[in-house]
Amino acid sequence: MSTDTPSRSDHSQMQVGSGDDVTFDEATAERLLQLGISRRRFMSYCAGLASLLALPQSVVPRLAQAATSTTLPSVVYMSFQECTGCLESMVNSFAFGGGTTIDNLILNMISLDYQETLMAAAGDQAEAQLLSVTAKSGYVLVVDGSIPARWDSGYFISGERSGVARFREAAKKAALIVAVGTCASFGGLPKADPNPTDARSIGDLMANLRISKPLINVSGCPPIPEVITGVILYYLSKGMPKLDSLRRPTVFYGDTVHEDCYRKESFEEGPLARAFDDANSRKGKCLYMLGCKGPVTHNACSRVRWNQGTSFPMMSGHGCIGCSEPDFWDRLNRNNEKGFYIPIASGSGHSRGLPCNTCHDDNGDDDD
Amino acid sequence: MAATPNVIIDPVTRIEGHLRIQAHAVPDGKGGGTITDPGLSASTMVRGLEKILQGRDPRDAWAFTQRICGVCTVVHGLTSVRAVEHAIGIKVSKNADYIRNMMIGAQYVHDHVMHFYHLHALDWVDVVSAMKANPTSTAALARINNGTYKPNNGALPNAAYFQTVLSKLNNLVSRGQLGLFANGYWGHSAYKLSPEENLLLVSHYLEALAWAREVVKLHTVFGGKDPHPNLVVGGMPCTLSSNTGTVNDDKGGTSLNTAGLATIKTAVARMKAFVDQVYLPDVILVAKRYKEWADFGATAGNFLCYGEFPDPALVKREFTDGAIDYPAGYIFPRGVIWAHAPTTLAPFDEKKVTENVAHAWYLGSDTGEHPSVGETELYYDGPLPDQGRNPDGTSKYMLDENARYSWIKSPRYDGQPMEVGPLAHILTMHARGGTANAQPTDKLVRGYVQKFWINPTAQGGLGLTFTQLNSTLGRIFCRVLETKIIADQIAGRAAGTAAYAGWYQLYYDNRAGAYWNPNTFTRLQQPTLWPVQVGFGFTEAPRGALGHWVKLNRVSGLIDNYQCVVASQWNAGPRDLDGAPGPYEEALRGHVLANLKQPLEVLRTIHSFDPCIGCAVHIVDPDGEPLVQVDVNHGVGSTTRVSGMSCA
Amino acid sequence: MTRLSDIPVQAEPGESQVVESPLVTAILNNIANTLAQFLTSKVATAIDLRAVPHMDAATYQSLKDALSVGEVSAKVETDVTIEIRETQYSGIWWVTHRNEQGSIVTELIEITDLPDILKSHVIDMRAGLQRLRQALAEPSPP
Repeated sequence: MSTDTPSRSDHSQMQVGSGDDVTFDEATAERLLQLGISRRRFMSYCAGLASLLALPQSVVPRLAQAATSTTLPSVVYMSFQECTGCLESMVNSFAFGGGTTIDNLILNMISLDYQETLMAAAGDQAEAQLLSVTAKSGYVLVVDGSIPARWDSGYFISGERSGVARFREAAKKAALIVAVGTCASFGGLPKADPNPTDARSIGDLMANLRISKPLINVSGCPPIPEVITGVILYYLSKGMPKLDSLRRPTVFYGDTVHEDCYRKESFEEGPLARAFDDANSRKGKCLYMLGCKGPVTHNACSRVRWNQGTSFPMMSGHGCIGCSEPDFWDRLNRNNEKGFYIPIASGSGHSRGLPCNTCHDDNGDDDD
Repeated sequence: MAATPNVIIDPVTRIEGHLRIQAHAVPDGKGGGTITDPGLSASTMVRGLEKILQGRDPRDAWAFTQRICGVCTVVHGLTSVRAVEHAIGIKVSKNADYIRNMMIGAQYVHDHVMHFYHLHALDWVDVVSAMKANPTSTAALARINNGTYKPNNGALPNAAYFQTVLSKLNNLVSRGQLGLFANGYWGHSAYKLSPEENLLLVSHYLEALAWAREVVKLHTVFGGKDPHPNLVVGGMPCTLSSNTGTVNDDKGGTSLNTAGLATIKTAVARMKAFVDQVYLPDVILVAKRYKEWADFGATAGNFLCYGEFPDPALVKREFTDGAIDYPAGYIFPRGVIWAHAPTTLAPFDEKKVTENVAHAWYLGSDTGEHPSVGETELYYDGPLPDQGRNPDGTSKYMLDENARYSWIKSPRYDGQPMEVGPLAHILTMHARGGTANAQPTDKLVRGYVQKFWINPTAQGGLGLTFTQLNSTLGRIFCRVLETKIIADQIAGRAAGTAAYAGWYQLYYDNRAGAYWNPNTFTRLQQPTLWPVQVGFGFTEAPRGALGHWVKLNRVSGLIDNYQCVVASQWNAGPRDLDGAPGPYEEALRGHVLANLKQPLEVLRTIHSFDPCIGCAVHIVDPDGEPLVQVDVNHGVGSTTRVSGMSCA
Repeated sequence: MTRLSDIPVQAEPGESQVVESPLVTAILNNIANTLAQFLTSKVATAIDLRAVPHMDAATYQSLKDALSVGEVSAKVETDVTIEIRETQYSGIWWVTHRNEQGSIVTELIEITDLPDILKSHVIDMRAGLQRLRQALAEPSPP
């Protein structure tokens, strides 16, 4: 599907080697020069991003154009019942050390026009900024945190407005809504049993409020930085990505973390790690017995890895806790027990020879 | 309420979480005014995490509590793990304590640097003024202020370097997209740095963003990801790789291979370098220009510290004793400083901690009870949101200091509001440094306070008094000071500066040792071996004293009750039944504002506490049953109280 | 396969047994067709090795061995490193993008006369010219 692509400037020079034999058009090269970013460094970044997004390399100039457009896409980032972990993760995304200065996505690729944790403005001046940027249409609304269902519960009030009211107003003119993190995507921790504040995911709240807008769920607690920024850049250059039935981009959430895990072989053939720090743990054997939820968890951790490819949970010895799946805090495992150290029931997950719809419906439908 | 608030900040930005500040300033007739009474600090978001924890597997609690806050991402998890270990009587290995120290330590360095540049600097640094800077003069300033910092492809930044930063700012302005810098209080008369100083700090703002993502890799190697790295009850889940080379399908292994250990070493070196070369000199530069802020933002002068950074070298036998049992070796001492004796470390008695909900949106005790016996339920009776403004622009939504007005409860120690965090850490270290129990780091602290804070300006100091540490500026100063102490403790110190090999090297030398206590999971099924009724875990988080209490069910082995009393709760909490204001509220008294519509001065003081409001809000379980025998010494079977600890 | 960086890049001496892999043959056929197209259309193409299914360490190595190395080798060094190596077949280039730590981020086989990353951009050349003229105009340093 590809809906609601914001109109963007000239995309004519998309093909490698076409036209005047440069991959980047002059405007892009000019912008990079202004920003003090090495063009070749930037090409390398875009090549990596395209590869990560499973896009053909011919899209590199278009990605570059999206990322360096003189009018940066406006992003309004609103926080509700959250812990700021998703923002911390996004701040950890790429930075450029080419040329003379270093900085990152927040200043170069998007215009982050509202983000309470980082913005200079406060109080009334912050509220005025929010009203002014959401008065124009076409911005990307990024949301983290769940939202209490009732506006009058008092469980979330900011700027003298309820979470429901803040979200509804900000959603009105958004071109796209991106629910970042599992709380925004699926309700997450606030919604864990017994859901004391009647917390809702953004998708559920949109249904309640009858808001019909394109929605992408970027789940994870928090999501991988490259996944957050990758999804935003994908949208800006190529439009809506293909989503799974839970509205997650299949390019990142199509496989389970188990499928790309280097410990997978011992899941099938043994031996398994039986305790932390045992000999098999040190050898990197499968953590299934220690409760790894990898086989039922769709995410890119084992492929993209964390913090510029440094490691991922299983590589550092701990099983996956399943943080990108709905209601993972209350997941029932073997003997119907909840717990991150309880092995998943046999018969769960892709690698048991069962189709993906034992853990979710993967037919590409986008109804929630 | 004494007078209608005319200074309102909602939302308070550049913090973690959701906070509203109200105050009344006596107008000066020129648009400004003076705040003569305490302000009002209100948290306006709640999730109810502790209620969610009831009936859960205690091994899972760390993952839940870690999500209290994604900024303090390690400390809530570790506090929980320590609480469960205490409840079931499990000791962790020396390596686990080294790694935990490094993870908390890296958290401090990362958090404090990001706080200074990304959350606090824009209260002192005028970005619009920076655009008027002369790049050549800025390069000259950089040479003096940060003469060893070479971000310009390994060279000192030159005029061209700062010209690039300028172009970047000009770009934002010329295309009318200021992004995060939009609508700040630019041009406010309280900004005092020169254009060149502003530009220098803006360049460090940008560089700190890239630096930050590098140093969190320490968490990633040990914990698999950051934010929210993985932990485990009984030690650490990471373990040394059987294969020193690349981890892959064929050779297996773990993140603690040659490359992973090198990543940690690099992160440790980068932490130390940035603190020494950039953060510390920048704070001193700002302090010199804003010295009057040592006269604003004082709290009542009572400080509390649970203690942190055990010395793992004190572990005598693996899994039999543990560093957490030896508060004598803590870098930050456990203890209390009272206003009447700011250089004396008084003993801490955990039983004197109470919480009350007189002004918080909970049903429960108004008079204050130990956290283990509180009975509270969410009870919002505040004003309704979404009512718009009055025709004259004033708010219809106004919180009343005589009613309930926050989702944060009021913790008290011996009936008093206490400030926690960097100022408490430095003052407790300073106090211990004057006793027979002085640690080498205490002496360093005393030296740095003298050198940077007290020495007259002719000698390069700020020429301020010890008492003035209790201030907005003092809080900023103490934060950078403790960052330096910790960065050096991880990286090591050379002879002449209390020589120490550093946690990284000591861990590295012992890396083949144990990471996890293999009795941990079986012990959870042996309640007869559990030493205490209620497990108590504590850490000193970057924002201060953090405690978790867990009560396990001796039949099911699951969590009956779980409670947290956290740092920002101490600092950001509302008034108590007697009307005594919390530290944020008290600190606003006496502020002189140039422009009531642009309360920059209030933001400076609130931000100096580094608010972390997600942390501060949680609910206590309505169990009602007394949770007894909370043992703060964390020893198996021990009910030793802190009176035996190493303080004067 | 987990990541490209996990794949040993250099064959250890004595270990380079060429595996007769149908996948390698398929890729080589594809490359040949693409090169033929380039000769007529001048449209460059890049094959992303990450996107090639079932690429294990052995397949990777045999592909690399089959293409071998040609005359040209170049390196782009910013904070990251990009290695550009002509293969034994002119017009077929093996391009490796490494991150700051030296791990492989992206690996491409480019079919073109000269990979774009090596070319100077007209914008950069204009800026270079300006700087050079500036330098010539200034008095030489003592």
